[in-house]
Amino acid sequence: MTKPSLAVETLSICSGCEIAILDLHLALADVLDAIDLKYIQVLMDHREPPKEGVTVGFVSGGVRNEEHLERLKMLRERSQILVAFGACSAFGGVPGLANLHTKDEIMEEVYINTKSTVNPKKIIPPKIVPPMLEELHPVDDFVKVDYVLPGCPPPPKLIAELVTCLLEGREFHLEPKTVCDQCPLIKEEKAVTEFKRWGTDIVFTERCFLEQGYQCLGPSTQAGCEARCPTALSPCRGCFGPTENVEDQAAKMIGALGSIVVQDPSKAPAPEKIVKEVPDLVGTYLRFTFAHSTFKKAVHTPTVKTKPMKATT
Amino acid sequence: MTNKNWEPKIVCFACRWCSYAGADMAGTSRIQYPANARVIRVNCSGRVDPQFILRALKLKADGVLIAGCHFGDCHYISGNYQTSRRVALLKEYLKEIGLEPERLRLEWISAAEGHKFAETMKAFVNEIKLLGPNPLANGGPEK
Repeated sequence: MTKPSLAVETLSICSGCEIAILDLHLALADVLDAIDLKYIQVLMDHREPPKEGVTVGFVSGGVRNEEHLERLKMLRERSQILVAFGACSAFGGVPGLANLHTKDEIMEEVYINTKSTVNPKKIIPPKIVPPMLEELHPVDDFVKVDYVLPGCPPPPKLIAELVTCLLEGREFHLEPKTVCDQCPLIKEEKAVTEFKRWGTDIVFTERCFLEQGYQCLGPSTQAGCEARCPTALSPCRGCFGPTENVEDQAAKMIGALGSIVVQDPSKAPAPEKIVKEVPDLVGTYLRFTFAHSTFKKAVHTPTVKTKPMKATT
Repeated sequence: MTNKNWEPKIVCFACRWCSYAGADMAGTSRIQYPANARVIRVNCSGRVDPQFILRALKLKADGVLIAGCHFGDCHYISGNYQTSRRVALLKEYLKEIGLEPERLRLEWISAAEGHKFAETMKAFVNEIKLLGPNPLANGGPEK
């Protein structure tokens, strides 16, 4: 019997997820014994997944341009099992926040408006590069995904677990729990009177961040990482995405935020004050999942839309 | 852009202890008000998950009205306080993604205020008519 083969495709991403595979350390030797690594651009010199197909395809990164789309479809055709690997492929990830703007706005900002750019003729790259799609898509917008392994990057322990499950022919599941369930910090009473921005004070106490008034996405985030950020005394940023059957991570977080404020109305902050204490709401609550939220992208009404830029060569 | 015969569709979540009874009061008192709202009875305005509101707007509702008890009257003590905070944050969310926050409205209507229910409905329908249809209904991001 031949060894099961693995292909890892890299789309719109920082390649951190591929490095997370290397972070298996000693377990990597066992994994490489058991599977045949056919294609991974970060480590090997291949152009595309093998034509004869692979058993498992990992896809990391969202779909931002037409080349990504083509390569995603190629991997889907050539692999029996497709795994959305990492927050970007599963939910769009941080690049998904670009969906707050139109494609033209992004091009203008990047190639003309940024202060470090010198572009007096206002040249936008011509069409010889793969054209950008209107917005960034998570991979399940286009192809069927068999397993989702979220995280930014996915924890090596879960990668090993997924690979083991696939080798033994078992189903892989994430526990239907939130990060709070696995969080080791001390939880007492949730009676917040003021919300603070992370980084405005030094935190050494091992107490629930929400109780201290910091925005921690634990209550709205799928468990699986064993609360690695809160354990390191940093609030959860939500890279595992929403829990099962939840469409919008921000909705759940807003729901939670409504009820952790102190119950006594005379002590509770006014709703308007709370709104001011949460600057950049979408960027905080949907940092990794905006491209996979209820609306998926900003609603661009014709009045808001900027004039389309002319591509000059 | 706006069809002349267009009538806004409004989803109204009404608390069973006050606003839903307030709507009944408006009905039994024979007060006339626009029939644009689809009233959904919930046990408390605090029961309204923010996801319900987002999904209603995503499914092209032109406005969402949440009606609950006045402060201090909540059957579950603090449900309406929680709603007031959630709605404020949701309005900010809608603003950031480019939807008019005015499409979401929070009102406190007691069981005796049938008149207020009718007035709120009239005012909200007029406001939505000025805003026009939900932008998602006009070839917006629909999947």
